[in-house]
Amino acid sequence: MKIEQKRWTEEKGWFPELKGTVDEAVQLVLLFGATQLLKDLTYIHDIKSAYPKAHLFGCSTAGEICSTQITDNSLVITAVSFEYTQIKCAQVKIRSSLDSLQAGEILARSLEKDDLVHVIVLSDGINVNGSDLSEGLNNNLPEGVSITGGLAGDGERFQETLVFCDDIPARDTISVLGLYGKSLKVGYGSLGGWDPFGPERLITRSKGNILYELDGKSALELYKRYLGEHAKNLPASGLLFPLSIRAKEGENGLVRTILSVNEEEQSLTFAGDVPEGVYARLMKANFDRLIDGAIDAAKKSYLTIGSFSPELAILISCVGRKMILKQRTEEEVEGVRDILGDKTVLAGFYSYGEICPFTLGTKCDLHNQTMTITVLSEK
Amino acid sequence: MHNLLKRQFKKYFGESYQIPTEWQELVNAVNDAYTQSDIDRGLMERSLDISSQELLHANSEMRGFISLLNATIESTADGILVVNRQGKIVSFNQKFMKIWHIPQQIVESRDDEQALSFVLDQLKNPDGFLNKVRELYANPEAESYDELIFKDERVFERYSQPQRIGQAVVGRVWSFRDITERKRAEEEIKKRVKELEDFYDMAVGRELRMKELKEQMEEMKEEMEKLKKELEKYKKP
Repeated sequence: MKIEQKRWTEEKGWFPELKGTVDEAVQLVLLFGATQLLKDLTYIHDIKSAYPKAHLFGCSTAGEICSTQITDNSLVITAVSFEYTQIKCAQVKIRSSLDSLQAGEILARSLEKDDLVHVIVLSDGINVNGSDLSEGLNNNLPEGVSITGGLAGDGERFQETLVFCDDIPARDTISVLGLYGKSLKVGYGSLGGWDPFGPERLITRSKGNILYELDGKSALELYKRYLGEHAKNLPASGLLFPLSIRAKEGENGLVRTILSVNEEEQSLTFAGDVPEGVYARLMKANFDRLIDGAIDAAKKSYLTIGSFSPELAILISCVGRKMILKQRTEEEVEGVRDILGDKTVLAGFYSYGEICPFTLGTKCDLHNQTMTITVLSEK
Repeated sequence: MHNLLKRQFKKYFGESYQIPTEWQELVNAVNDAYTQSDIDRGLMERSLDISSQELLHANSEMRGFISLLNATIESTADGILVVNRQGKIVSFNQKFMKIWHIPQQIVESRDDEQALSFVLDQLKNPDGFLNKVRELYANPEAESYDELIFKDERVFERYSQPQRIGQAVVGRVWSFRDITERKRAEEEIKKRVKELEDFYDMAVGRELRMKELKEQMEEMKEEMEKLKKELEKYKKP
């Protein structure tokens, strides 16, 4: 594949220059950027003029990744010319998170199945139930097709996220990109680096991805107690304490992050299901373990693709990590670079949730607070 | 500016030092890092505090509950023995130990087999007892009831039930109740009843005999009257 990246910032505009480019060989442009910038259609217009034959696939973010640099309030495009691989897009709009399962089904069914190797999904980050979406996709795609992706972000505002595939970036949207062709090799890995602490708490009242009570007491109050003065920054500050959901015996535990808070109902909405009867624990982050998590995710993805140095790596990392690492956030991307090598092009964004299988060959799941890496190579 | 950073500038560059403009951005970044570090530490300490309180509270509640449970198990009239699915003794009460006179070290070893052998010696039908135990271990969901007769003539009722957590059977609970007195009282009553029945039979028999005799007496009296009349005929005018 041939890949080139450009970034737009307020100070420098497009770098490298976008004007004057007309490349008809590019079939896919990944576009990740700030919500406000994506609403201004002049940028998208300019990008389409530069790559007239390309599918434009992307979303709003809580930070853009371009090589080992992370920027906010910018746009990053990654333009790919595949040698053998074909791509197809599909998109669906939802009315509420209750539609998430069906949305997954519809999207999976809209993709042709012959030679389908991998699906990348980008979803609205606030009004979607990520675990239902994953289930809908899993149940309707053939065995052997892997799925990775993420939930779009909106900085630390949590107000509206935009997703698009050859369309105007819009909210309440879920898009999928299907990658076709036997020459395509895909690897993936997802790891957190967060540790549960304190007592196990029984989820005593919840509905889908909305949590009301733990051990018979208000979950919102529990979070406010732990956050202290930071409680006023909910839901963003809720990312400092994700929830670890204990799964059934033998299954991996899942991490869930708060997306929104409802004071009247005294509820917390998470990115994925928080079922009643399950035990949960609060989690905390440790800098070094977060960086190690990113490095290990890169190692995992490297292993699953075989031993090639991948050509393209798409990094979808959780906004919660960026909030903890702050100025050190680039360390996690640098760690990924160290593992994957200098030749791999790194693109991606900071998300409100990540979608990836736990291990090679299993179904995909919604994760939170992880660095999820998808690596692609054409043989 | 963060206090520490301010102090560092003062210490290494003097009170009146002016930060050069080209360094300002870096200094701001350092300042932010210091401030963030304080915030992170504050959050960590707060979490530690709250968690510790929660754990302490949970522990003391748990301890209270355990005391209550222990007190309950010691207050029952029965000897109680709890065994897990692997045959190890999980818990028991003092009455249980007293019933079987089991020495401290066997119970502490928590080995059901050992305790079992110690106990078999004391029973009149050790084989029957053992078979029942083996049968029940093979059937974890079964309940049982039987009576045990000791060589020293004590009699015990023995119940057992599966011990469940949720749906899963995790062990078996045996309870033993001393019914020696009750058995003895039952025997006593049986004896008395027999005696009364015998006496009754005898009394009824005697009544009948008495009636018979009375009837014979009447007959004899009649005969005597007849004879007397006959004798009157032969007296001299």
